[in-house]
Amino acid sequence: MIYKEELINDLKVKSVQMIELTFKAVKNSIKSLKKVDIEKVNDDEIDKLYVDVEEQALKILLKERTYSKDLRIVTGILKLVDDIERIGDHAEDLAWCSSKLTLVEKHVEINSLNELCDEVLSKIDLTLESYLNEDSELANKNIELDDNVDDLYLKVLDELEIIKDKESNYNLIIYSTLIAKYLERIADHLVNINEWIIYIKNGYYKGRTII
Amino acid sequence: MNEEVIFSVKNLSLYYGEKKALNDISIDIYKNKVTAFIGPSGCGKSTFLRCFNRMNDLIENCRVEGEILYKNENILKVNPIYLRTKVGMVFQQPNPFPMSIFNNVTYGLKCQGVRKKDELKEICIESLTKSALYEEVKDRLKDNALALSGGQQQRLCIARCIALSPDVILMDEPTSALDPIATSKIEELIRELKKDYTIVIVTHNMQQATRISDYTAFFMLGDLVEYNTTDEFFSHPKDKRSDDYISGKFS
Repeated sequence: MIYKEELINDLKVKSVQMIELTFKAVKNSIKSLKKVDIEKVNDDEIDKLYVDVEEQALKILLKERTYSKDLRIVTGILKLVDDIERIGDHAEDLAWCSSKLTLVEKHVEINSLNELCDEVLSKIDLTLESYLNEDSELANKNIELDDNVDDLYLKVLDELEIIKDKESNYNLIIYSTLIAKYLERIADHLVNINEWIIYIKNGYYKGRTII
Repeated sequence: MNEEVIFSVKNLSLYYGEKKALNDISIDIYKNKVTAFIGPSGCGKSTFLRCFNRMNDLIENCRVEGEILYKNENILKVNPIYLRTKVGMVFQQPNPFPMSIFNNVTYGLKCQGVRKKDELKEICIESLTKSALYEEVKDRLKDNALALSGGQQQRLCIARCIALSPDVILMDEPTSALDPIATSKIEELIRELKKDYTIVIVTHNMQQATRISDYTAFFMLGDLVEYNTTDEFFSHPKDKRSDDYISGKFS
């Protein structure tokens, strides 16, 4: 393997580590929405990997001949980790919201919020799969699925309005609204990641060629 | 590619004795564009460049088949001296004549019979200005050109070429003997010159090709492997050999 390939391989490995760590943090935060114990999200470790990936990508761009696929991999990863880092922040936000809810509040059934959690969890797995396999078809499907998330987010707001009238529990309403918003934001960042996966694979970003 | 074609090469093959150096090449060169020829050493890119002003005629046992159409005329059949006034050339090593800057620039004109001093001076100033050298040498046009720096000498050679009002300038690795500052001046100059001239450049520096050229042709073992816009070529090469070469997978 030539030196440049080793550097690019190392960059890919670091990006996968960052994605796995971030997605695990989101999953734990979502799980904690129904539990007493809140698992702490280690955002610092995600941020450290973010800096590592950025440094490695810039080093490759500075020192190596990056054309064709190499250029797409390095620049694609450089863009994609921005979204991963934001997802990491939202995982922390979700855990914080979870800590603000009592166990009783956590067990108030908000069906559309449960569905939204499931949808985001599934999207996380599918996004990781499309990244690992560089599967642009799957990435395209993942992007299309975002409409479900948007619909569910609006359903959560409707459902919370009904619950507000019934229970007058503003703590539950406020933090559940925030949780829904963070989940919706995470899904948006997953869309961006899938767009960068398509770019890495074939050079198209949002249906046009950048380079 | 809706560009005006200046050279249309059809099925060109070139032989050095028995050895085939260029193999059945067909390509269109576009007017007022910079076209870069790249490829490993010995791939035939410089040989091909020299076909455009018949410099290969000077090589013994060199034989060319096919045709290169320039203004609908096969250049392999026209007077090479006339051709070289329309298709100038700049080489890897700056090669000013051992005479004054003024005489270097006007040398070709004098060969063509231009004698009026005012006319010579006017063309000299215009050519030196176009080649971004005039401001640096305007007070010493009578000085020997060999006293100029390497980068200045190369720009002088470009001025000497421009003085004959060519349509095309061929450049064979014009910056490989220059430092980065002189190189960037030549590159800047090339970007300016393409407004008035068509430029075909051979380079080993792929970043240079991406910086200055509009089209890139990749050669290997005498074959034209791929020809495309430079942006497309360096981001989405179609041929695996091109991809391997620009990615550094072999030399």
